[in-house]
Amino acid sequence: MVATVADKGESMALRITIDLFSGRPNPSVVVTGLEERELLERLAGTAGRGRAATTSALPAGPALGYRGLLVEPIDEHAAPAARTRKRAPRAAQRTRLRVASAPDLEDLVCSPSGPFRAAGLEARFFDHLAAETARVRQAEGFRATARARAAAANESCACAPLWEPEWWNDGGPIQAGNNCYNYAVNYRSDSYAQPGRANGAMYASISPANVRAAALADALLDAPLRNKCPRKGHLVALCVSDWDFHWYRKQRSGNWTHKPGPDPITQLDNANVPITDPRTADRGPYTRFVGFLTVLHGHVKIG
Amino acid sequence: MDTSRSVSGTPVADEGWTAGARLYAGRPDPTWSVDATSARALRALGERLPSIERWPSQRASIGYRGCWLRAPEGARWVAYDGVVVAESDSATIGRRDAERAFERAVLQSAPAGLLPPGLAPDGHARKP
Repeated sequence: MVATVADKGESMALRITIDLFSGRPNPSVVVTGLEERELLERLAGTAGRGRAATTSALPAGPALGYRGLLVEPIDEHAAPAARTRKRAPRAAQRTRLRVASAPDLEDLVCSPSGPFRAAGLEARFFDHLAAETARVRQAEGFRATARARAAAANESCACAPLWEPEWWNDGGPIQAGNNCYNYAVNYRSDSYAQPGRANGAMYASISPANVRAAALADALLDAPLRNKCPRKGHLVALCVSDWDFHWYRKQRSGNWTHKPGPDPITQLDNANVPITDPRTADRGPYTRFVGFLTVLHGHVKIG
Repeated sequence: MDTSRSVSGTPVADEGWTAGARLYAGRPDPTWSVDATSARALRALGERLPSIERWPSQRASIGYRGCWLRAPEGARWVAYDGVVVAESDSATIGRRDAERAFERAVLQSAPAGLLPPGLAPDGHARKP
């Protein structure tokens, strides 16, 4: 157990500033002893529980209104965090710390009965502060929702195939015997698979409708959700030129990859750019984009 | 098997020469037989090209990517991006073909109708 200065009856000091105003000086108090310890314990809990709270030695971003608390040990030789049983964030042990989105700590500090009770502030100051912290928390909630939605939009495709160049690019029978269709479906047949051939429904000529119908005969499914990972299976995309067809597959990362015939698999389009959407990729002569389809693993038969 | 002599003195078989275009991603690439007279001419053309120390590797792309000529004994000439790489059991030699003369000649040896119309090495036929 770490012995604390407080245990030995020595004085403790911590300056707390409410970062609120843009014109007037921000209110500030110095807390000591048990009150300082409680603040530091809440601060340590904020940093240790993996919550949405932020503690940073960096300045706040530009904003009007409540921007957080500034916590500052005012005696460099007796850093208060070193005198507590619980560890405060490392930055608090040596420098001023900004704390935001930490309701436990902020509720204690910003309460009319908290450390600012003796700071000579009017009652309406605390009303304004409560409204400000509530506004900031609501805004943070909106931001969290937006972040979650953005993350969902860029989600990784859990059921999609992995990027495995060491498997497909063997320079031998796997690479030479499997084409873009094999790779997109993620099925090694060593037969240079053709849409529909394994089910007696191979395309008669190259056209968007013919190749798509042949793939449906192989039990691929239309994917009307476009460039979105399906709940089951993985997504592939078909395009055609006047003389050939070409397939892409959506990787677990969310990007697209493909296999140019007997050549090695690649993550790049013809312009050497990673493929985030095959509709907008440089596809060389495969200018007609036919559509997205889903491969349900174990359902598809190709050859 | 009847053979004659190439300009470099190695035998040139009369039968079994093949050529192909690296063109498709889904369908099998087109390949065709090359008669001995054409094979001799193609080989001589390739051997007249200046050798180079270093040459680019083949790019991963879709559409036309080059063509090749293969001898019955397994030697192969691969043409792409202005170079011809001759591969045999004993050596690999790179040659500069800035005018793509060898590449064009190989493609011209294909039977009529086998390759997409308008396919030319300098046009790449990568975009219509």
